[in-house]
Amino acid sequence: MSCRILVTGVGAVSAAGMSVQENIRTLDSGKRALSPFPSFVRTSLELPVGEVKADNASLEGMLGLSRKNPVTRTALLAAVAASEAVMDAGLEPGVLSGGRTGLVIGTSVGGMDISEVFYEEYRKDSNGCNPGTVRMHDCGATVSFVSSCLGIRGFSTAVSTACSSAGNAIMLAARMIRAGLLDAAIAGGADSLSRFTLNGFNSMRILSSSPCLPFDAARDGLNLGEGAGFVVLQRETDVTEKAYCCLGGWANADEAFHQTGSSSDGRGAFEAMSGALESASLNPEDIDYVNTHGTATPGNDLAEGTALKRLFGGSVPFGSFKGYIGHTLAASEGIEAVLCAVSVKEGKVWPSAGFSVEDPSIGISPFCPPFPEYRKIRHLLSNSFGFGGNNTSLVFSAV
Amino acid sequence: MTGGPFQNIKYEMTMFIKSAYRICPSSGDEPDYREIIPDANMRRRMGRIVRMGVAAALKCTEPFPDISIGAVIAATSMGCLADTGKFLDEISDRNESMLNPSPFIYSTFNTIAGQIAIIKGIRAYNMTYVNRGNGFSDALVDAWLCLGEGKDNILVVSYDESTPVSTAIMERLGCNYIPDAEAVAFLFSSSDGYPCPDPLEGCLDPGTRLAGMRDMGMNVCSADLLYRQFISGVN
Repeated sequence: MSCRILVTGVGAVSAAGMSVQENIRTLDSGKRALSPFPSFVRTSLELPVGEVKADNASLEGMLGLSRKNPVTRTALLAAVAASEAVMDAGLEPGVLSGGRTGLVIGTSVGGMDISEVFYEEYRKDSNGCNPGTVRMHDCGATVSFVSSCLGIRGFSTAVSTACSSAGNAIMLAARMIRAGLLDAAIAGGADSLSRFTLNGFNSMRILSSSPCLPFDAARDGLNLGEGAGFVVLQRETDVTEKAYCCLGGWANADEAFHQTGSSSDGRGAFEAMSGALESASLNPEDIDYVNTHGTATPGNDLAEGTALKRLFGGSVPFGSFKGYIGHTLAASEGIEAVLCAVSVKEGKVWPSAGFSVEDPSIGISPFCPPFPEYRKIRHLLSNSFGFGGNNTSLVFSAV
Repeated sequence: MTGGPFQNIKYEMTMFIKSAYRICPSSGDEPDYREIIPDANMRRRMGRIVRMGVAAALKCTEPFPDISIGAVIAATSMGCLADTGKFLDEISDRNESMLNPSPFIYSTFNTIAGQIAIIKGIRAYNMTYVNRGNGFSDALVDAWLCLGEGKDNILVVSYDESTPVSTAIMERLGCNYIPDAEAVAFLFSSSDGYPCPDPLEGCLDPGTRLAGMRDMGMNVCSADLLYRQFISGVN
C-alpha cells in the first residue's frame, strides 16, 4: 500500500468562534450561533446570519497588521484560520517557504465586501473614489494575501465552484501531494458575508427568515454564514506526530442537471458519495457518520436525503452543521472538514441542530441526541454541493 | 484498506492537444452563436462571456461527437464581470427588493463550467480556477493530474472579459489586463494530438507564478499563446 495523506493541522473561524477550540465549545454547549441580522454588512435585509463576531479591525489586530489599503474580510478570515492550522500542524517557516508546501483556497465572495461599497460610491462619482481599495476584489488576491501572511512561496491557487469550493480545494491539494508535486498543503475555504450574496440568495428566494431547519419537514431555506476553515495535509512518511485522521478518498461529479437546483432523486449527490467510497476502497457499511451539505433548502435536503437513503438504506447516522453556523458558502467544507477531522480523532458527534419533525418525502432523520455523543468513527463521509450541479464528497478515516 | 486513492495512478509527462478553438471578437474571430447554441432563450439568458466560453467549448469538441469528456476545467482571472456589475446595479437601483436573480446566478465563477456540463450532459469532474494570471496554468496542472488518474479527453476553457468600469479601474491601478473579451478552449488527451509543452514547468516555478499574480491578462494571454502554437503546429 502506498503512503497515505494525513490531516495534521486544523484552523477554523465561524460564527461559533474565532478558533477551533471556541467552535467546539459552542457546539458542545448546543448553542446555535446565528444572529437575527448582520451587523457588519451595509444592508436593509433583516435576515438571520451566521456572522463572525469580530469586525475587520479586530481581525487585523489578530494578525498584527497595519495596512494603508483595507484588506477584504474574506482574506482576513482566511488568514486567521490558515495561520491557526499551520501553527497546529507545527509547520516550520522553512517548510512553508521551501516551495514544496502549497496553498489552495476555495472562495466565491472574494473581495466583494469592499467592492460593493466602492461601486456604490463609484456610481455617484467615478473620479472621486480611490480604486486602491478594490485591489483585492478578485479571488486570487485572497490567495496572494494569505500566501504572504504565511510565507508560502510554492504553488498557490483559488478554486471557485460555489458552495463546494473548499471541498474541491482540499481534493486538489491531496491530488497534488499524491502526484508528488507538493509535500504538504494548506487547503480549505473562506467567504465573508456581503450585500451581494445576501441579495443574490434572497432574490432566489432560498433564504429563511428564521433559524434554519436542516432536513426538517418545515424547513424553508438557508441562513447565510461566513468564516474560514483550513486543514494541513501531509504525506504520511513526513509525519512523526499523531495526526487527526487520514483523507482516505474523494470524488467530484457534476450533476449536469440545472444551474442552481438539484435533481429530486439526488443523482449528483449519490455519484459524489459513491465515487468517494470507491476511491477509498470502502463499502457503505464502513461509513460511521455522514456530514451532509444539509443547507435546509427544500430542494437540497430532499435530493441529499434521497441519495443517502439510496446509498446507505437509511441506516447511517447523519447531520448538518448549518443549523449552528449557517451556510458559509465556499468556506463550508473548510470549516466542516475541520470539525469532521476533530470528530474522527475524538470519536465524537454533535447533534444536528434545528431538526424536530421528519419529512415524509425524505423518510430519514438526522442524528439528534440530546448532547454530543462519543462513538467510534472509522470512516466519515463529508459532502458539499454547489451551483452548477457541482458535488464533492470527502472521506476522513481514523488513523 | 487496500490501495485506496493511490491505486491505478500513472502520471506521464506528455499531454496532447486534440483540438482547440478560440473566440476573440477584437481579432474578428467570432462564430455565429445561433448555430452553436440554438435555444434562443438560453442564449439570451447567458451574458456575453458565458456565451463565448460555452461556444468555444462546444466548437472545440465538435470534431469529436462520440468521445466521452473526462473533465471540464475552467480558468479565469476575474470571472463574469458584466453580470457582477449588473447585479450590483440591480441592488442599488431597486434598493434590495424584487431583484432579478439571473445576473447573480450568471455572475458565479463556475457558471461557464457548469453550463458546459449541462448542455453537453457531462456528468464528470468539474472545476474552476480564479487565480489572476495563473488561472490557465493551474487548469493545465489539473488537466495533467486528471490524465494521470486515468481520465481522458479533458476540456479546458480559459476566459476573461472587461467592462467599461473594470477597464477604467484597471487603468487607474496600472494593472495589465485584456482590453475586450476572449475565450479559448482546448481538448487534452493522453494518447493522440499535438504534443503540449510541459504544463508543470511554469506552474511550480516561483518566478513565473509571481509574474502571473501581477498580470491580470496572463490567464487568457497564455491560453492564446498555446492556441497559436497548436494552430501553427498542426498546419
